[in-house]
Amino acid sequence: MSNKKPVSGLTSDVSLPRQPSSSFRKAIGASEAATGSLPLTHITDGYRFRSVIQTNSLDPTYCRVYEKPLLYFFYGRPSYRANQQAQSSSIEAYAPICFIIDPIFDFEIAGIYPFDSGAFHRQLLEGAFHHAMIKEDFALDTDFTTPRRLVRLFFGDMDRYYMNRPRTDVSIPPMDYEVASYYGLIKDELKNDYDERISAIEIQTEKSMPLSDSVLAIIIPDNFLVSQPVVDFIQKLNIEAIPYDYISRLRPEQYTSQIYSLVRAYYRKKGFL
Amino acid sequence: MTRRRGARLVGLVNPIGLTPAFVIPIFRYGNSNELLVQVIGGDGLVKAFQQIEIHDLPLHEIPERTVITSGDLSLWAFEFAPSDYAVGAQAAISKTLAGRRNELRRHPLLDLQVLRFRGMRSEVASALTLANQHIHEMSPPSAELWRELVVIPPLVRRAILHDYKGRKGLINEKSLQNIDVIVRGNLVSVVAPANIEQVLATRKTLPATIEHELGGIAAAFGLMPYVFSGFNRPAESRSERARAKPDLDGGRSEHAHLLLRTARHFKSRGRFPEAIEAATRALQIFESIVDAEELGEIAADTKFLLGELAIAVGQLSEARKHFEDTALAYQRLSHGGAKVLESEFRAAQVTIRQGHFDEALKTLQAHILPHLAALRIRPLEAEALGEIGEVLMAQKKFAEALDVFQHHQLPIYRELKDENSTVMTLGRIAAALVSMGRINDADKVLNSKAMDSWSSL
Repeated sequence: MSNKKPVSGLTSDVSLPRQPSSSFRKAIGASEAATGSLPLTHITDGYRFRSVIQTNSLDPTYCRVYEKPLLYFFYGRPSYRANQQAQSSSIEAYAPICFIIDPIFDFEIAGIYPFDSGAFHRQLLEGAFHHAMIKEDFALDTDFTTPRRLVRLFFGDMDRYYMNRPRTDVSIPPMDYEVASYYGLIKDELKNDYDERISAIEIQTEKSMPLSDSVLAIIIPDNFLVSQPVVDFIQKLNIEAIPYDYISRLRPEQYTSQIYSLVRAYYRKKGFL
Repeated sequence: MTRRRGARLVGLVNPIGLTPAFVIPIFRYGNSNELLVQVIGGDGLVKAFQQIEIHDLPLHEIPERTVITSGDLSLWAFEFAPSDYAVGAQAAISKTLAGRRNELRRHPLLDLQVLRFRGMRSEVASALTLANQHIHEMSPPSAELWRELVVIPPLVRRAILHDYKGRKGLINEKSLQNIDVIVRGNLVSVVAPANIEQVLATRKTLPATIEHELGGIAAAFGLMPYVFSGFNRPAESRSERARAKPDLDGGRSEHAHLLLRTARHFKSRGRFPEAIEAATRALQIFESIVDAEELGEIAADTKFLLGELAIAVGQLSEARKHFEDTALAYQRLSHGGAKVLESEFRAAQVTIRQGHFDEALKTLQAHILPHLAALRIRPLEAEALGEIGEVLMAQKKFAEALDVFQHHQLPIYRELKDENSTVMTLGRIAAALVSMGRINDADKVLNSKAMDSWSSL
């Protein structure tokens, strides 16, 4: 695990409307860390996967939100990155490929956010926050213990975080508006357009990630295992491949939970949960 | 009345970029630029259409311009090769796939998908075997994960749903996801949250339903042809468990308990070799976990079970050793007195079956019997007396045997009001009398009132 990197976590070079608030970051920094660590996940689709097996690395791609190349992960949960618009589905949801990254793999973190910051940027979460709040108010210390601190503060433990079951007893000091807004968002059980990404911890890096040392497992449509380049890739990297039932996933009622269940079962088998 | 809006099929998208493969039919409303996919219900009918973003994936436009609306049969598509595709309702695609199955056989996982799509359940087990081999050749750990995480859990969950079908309540498609199906080695266990566990525990037919659902698939994967029928406590989080009780063994004791229950199940069904295998593995795990007295006791219980199983398969030397080990294991526990004696008694019984009468008699009379009497463990004391009497009979010491049966064993069974054992002892008394030539006395015993209950045995 990396040494503590007490930087602000701000990843954007674009000019900000004001100096970000440090209230949320301080609240997380003051929390104890939850026991254990979860792997990171990175999801791509079959189309992009073909370039991954050629380079043996995950590479940043240009991000319009931050206006620079970034590589995204979620802490623990296999949350989908591509499906940004609540009313629209994405083809990636049909055949996702999920990389599970070893939690002890060290890399340079560019930013950590407590939610899908792209959704915040697109104002998909605006109902939960004051209109003057900016996503940078929620930028966290780029330290590997930060996700564990957030999990401890808002969820209690890793299993509850994975299942998106927030604690109900978090006491929030007066005037900590960002903390109160975030807590209100993740506890919102009313019908809305949000999905679990409202509380999926987002981790960004500006660097490529070599797969040879970092990947524990890959969850992949079973169709891919007929492809010799894919078989070679798995054997070369000596990673565990978990082929999932692709045809089931074509039934929309199946695909929302299938990868989630598989990853959770994998974590339980390997002792992460 | 609102008119349903029809969507026109415009092309196919292959999200994995490989063929042959199932691909996704893409639709449009009228001249709209928005691309749509079907939302298909459990009945196979179109429930609605949903906007889809295909990003940089190519849309393979096709000349078929079928228009469907919600409520129609959903459309499926399969691409055998670029520009070689079939699109239609599930039945039509199934027919096409059946006719071209030979083209798919070299792709075991795809063949498996197709069989499932066609509903050919009887052929799935053999296809699973081939697919398993295919993955195993690529990566043995991956084959194990596929079996444990992908194949088995849905089958077990489906069995639970089928078993519960028609009854309103907690168990539905959604709540099934809260039921953990854990495959460890060649055993399957089910862990359900407490509220669901209470429901499942009442389903006596469930183990058989699960066993039926797994059917030949269990064999294909080398699973024991038996599924644990118990339901553990809810799957609390690891940290909650840690707070309640230190997690000393990383879940190994849970696994060993599961194996032990499985062994007992096999024993109850007379499947002794499988029971021995499960109990032996349980014992190995228990013995590898230190610092827990309760595990010491369960390990000793496991040894005792192994002794009983060894007797059942005629392995008397092993049985004796197991019981002697068990006695030593119980001696190390603070509360194991009665169990020590029982283990020593079972070891002595084995000694008798091995024909070592003098050795057994000495142990029983000098050690076991006095302690059983002192501790007032009456049923075992009576049983020990019966063994002593039988040894004396075998040694042709009929008068001594008669004394044991008549004046020591019989009073205990009468005191315990154990009618069956009383009748059995009277039979032994009669046999001793016959051996002594006292035919009339034996006749009196056999015609005594106490023997009336013989007919009801």
